[in-house]
Amino acid sequence: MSREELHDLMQDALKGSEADQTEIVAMMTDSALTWYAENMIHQHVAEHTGQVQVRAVQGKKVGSSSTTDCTAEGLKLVVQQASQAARLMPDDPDFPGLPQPQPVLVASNSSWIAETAQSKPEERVQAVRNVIDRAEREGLRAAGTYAVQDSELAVMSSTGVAAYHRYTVAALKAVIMGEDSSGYGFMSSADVGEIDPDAIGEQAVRTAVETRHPIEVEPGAFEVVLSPFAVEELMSMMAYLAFSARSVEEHTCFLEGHEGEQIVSPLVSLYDDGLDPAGMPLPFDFEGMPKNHVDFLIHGRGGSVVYDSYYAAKSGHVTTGHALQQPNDMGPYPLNIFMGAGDSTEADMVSHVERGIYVTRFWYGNPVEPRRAVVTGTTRDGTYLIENGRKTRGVHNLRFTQSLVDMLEHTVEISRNRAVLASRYGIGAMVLPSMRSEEFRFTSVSR
Amino acid sequence: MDKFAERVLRAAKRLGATYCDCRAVDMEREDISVVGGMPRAAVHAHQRGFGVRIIADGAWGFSSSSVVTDAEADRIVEEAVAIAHASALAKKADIVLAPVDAVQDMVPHQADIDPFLISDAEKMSVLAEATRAMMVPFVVLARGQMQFLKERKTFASSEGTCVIQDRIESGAGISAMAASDRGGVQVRSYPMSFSGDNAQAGWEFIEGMKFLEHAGPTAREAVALLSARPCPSCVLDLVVGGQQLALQVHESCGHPSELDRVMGMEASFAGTSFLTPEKKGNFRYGSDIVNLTADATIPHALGALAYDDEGVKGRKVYLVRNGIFEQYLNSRASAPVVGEEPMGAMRADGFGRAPIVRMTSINLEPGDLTFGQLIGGVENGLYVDGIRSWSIDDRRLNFQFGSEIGWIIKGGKLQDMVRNPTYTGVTYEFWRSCDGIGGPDLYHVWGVDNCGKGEPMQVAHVSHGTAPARFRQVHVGVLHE
Repeated sequence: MSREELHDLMQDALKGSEADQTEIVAMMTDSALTWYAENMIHQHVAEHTGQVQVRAVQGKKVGSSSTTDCTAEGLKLVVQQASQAARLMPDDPDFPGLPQPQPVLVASNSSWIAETAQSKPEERVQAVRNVIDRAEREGLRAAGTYAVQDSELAVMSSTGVAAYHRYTVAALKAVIMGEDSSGYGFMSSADVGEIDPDAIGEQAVRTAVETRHPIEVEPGAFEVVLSPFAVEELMSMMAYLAFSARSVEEHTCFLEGHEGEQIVSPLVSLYDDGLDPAGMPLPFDFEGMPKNHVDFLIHGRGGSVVYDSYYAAKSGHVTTGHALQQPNDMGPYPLNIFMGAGDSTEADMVSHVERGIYVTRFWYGNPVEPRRAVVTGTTRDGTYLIENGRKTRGVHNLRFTQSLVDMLEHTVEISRNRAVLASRYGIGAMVLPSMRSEEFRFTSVSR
Repeated sequence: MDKFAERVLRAAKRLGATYCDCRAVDMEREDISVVGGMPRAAVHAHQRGFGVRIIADGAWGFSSSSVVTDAEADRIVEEAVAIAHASALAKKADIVLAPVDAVQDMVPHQADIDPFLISDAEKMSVLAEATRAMMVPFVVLARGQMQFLKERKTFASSEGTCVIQDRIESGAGISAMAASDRGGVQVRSYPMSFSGDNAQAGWEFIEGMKFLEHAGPTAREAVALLSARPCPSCVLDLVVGGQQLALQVHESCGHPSELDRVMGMEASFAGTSFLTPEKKGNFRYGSDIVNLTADATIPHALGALAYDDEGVKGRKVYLVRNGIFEQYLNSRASAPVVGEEPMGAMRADGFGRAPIVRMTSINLEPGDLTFGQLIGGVENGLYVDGIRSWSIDDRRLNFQFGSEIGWIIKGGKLQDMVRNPTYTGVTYEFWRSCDGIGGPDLYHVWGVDNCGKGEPMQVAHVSHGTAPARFRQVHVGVLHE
């Protein structure tokens, strides 16, 4: 369906609504994924899904309905269902009404790349074979995914909101495994042409080889150098625990009540920016509201959190353009998190550590004590001992139990280079550097 | 077999596929949430579409679409075949499926009262009443949620199987968050945290939860936790409540028993498993009293199924019998590799995703102890329950779990309440230390609707039958400072 056809379809459905206010959100996605393991492709899929969600408002009553039937009849029916649902709902006194339209900046042309949208399964297989061949040359086993996606997001409402964005994502991941070690590589971009399977394979193979025959280190507090992949897992948990209005409502937000105060190292700046072309831009949210730049931490000082129109009205703020599909139980969410770049390199960081741990990835993080962002998880796919400024050998994976606020407080170095890490949920990305923290607590050893 | 599925299977054969299955899904969902007595969200969703799985050139191809037309069927089959041919460029061996009998069947749902016939207003009012009742002093947030699913799934294969399965699921839960002036935050949930308890049942399941009766006690426990002492950090005997044990079974038995994970297929995401094939039939997973089953036949269990998404009949198998690891959760392609028969554990999330090995209902069989006997057998220990936090390594060995609430056990009796209890260990060491399991009176099958696995991510609805159980000498109270 063309952009114009989708626009006309949504507009016709809006005209047919009997509700006081109506909003239609359409998400159309063509995606494909080549999944490989044990040096072969074991699943290879494509998916073509359209989904339309309608929010109908009758006074203070809100009804919502969605469908995968994206025909004119399907939209007409789902609008009717949402209106009917609204009439039967109790009043929601906190509901502020659908947001009024605001100007949305057009995202850069680099968000949608034709070559990505039109990529062929054979091309993905060839890329995967390059990774597998590299692993096999070292007697290792390759696993991973090569995913491509072409998505359209359109929001239209009876208040005059009309927003449309099309974007592509290509992401290749490699986990290379040996008898007692593993390594990791990942690259993502809107442009499939920027994905370099050889570089990804090389990075993962090198790590798997270098960390062979790991030794066990006693758990305890270590100085750590974290790769961008490791930082991503930690920032995902931080986003959940502390960066949204819902986290304030739930008292899990360590920023609450500390705006402007020095909370962590002045080296650390964290923000959400849906327009920065260095990431994977998304110019508006699921209410069609423009994405605002939101600072969570500015040189270590406490900043703000993200809002959608509901939480904004409830707490006396304005929406920052971070609504997910409405209504929902998650609240607003930052989908384009950046950590400000530093002036170091990963090699510099390692050279500054006398004895510490280099972490390629963290895994299965989960909050232990949300208010201080205390989380637990384990390392995986390449954990090194650093001795006298060098990554000397692999160590067995370690479990950490650590306050992320404390970790940021003890951060002493951040890299210039940042990796673009597309979200596994198919929308948005984080742009993150490597970082060095002087204290990070590992609490047990994995076998 | 319906005409649409016939068309798909014919087209696949014409294009050279040696195997094809078509899975059409028509699904309604409803999610209701209430905060502090006020409606927060009511979302109705309808999904309809089909997925086509092909073997051609000895390799898999899969494609799916939400457009259910003849023309789209032809296009999707063509794409699935093309993908299979591309996959074959990197194959090591042809896919071989274990033989299964072709079946034709129609399976009804298990609900007495269709929850989709109950108005949103009535659902909201149940949660509103309960969450209002939880707003006692120091409770700052009271949440309630319900979720319902109604599905018709039609599976047809080129081997002659055609199964139509209807399914209705209902689930709900409430939680109270209490906050102190000093910044402490505590949560208690009923009947279980996150989305509560879920079952293949109707509105009668929600009515049976009696939220209003439990709202006050749940809220008062959250408040009491604010002034409870912190969990001690030491090695103690541990009694784990049924809810928490459901999580333990899920993470440390269910996932490591998935044969695709064991064979490395999940290595790039969820990881692998310590339960490698040479351990089958001889590895001491737990103590003699530990019996863990995968049972797809339990009436109303959320993870039960009549047939999986390969058309294999669901059944009961022992994963661990008398403490010894015995069998995997498997698929038609993976089962023969380790000398097993397919046992009906291939499941897909909706129409859009290809099936992968999933849990059904994974259960710790009950023992014969009363709750008093479990606690009475502990001189110095801790009792914990209420799932709060979980983490386990990528081989499913090193785990660390947190519970909502705990109580010190001294001299065989429950004593002081403790806050933020955690415990950690290594899977097989933990299960080997199990020396007491509650009896059938304490046994409950918990429905869990948020099990994530696979790429792209798929969410499965599974269940876990558990009773409280006792474990000796466990490291509790992991310190982070």
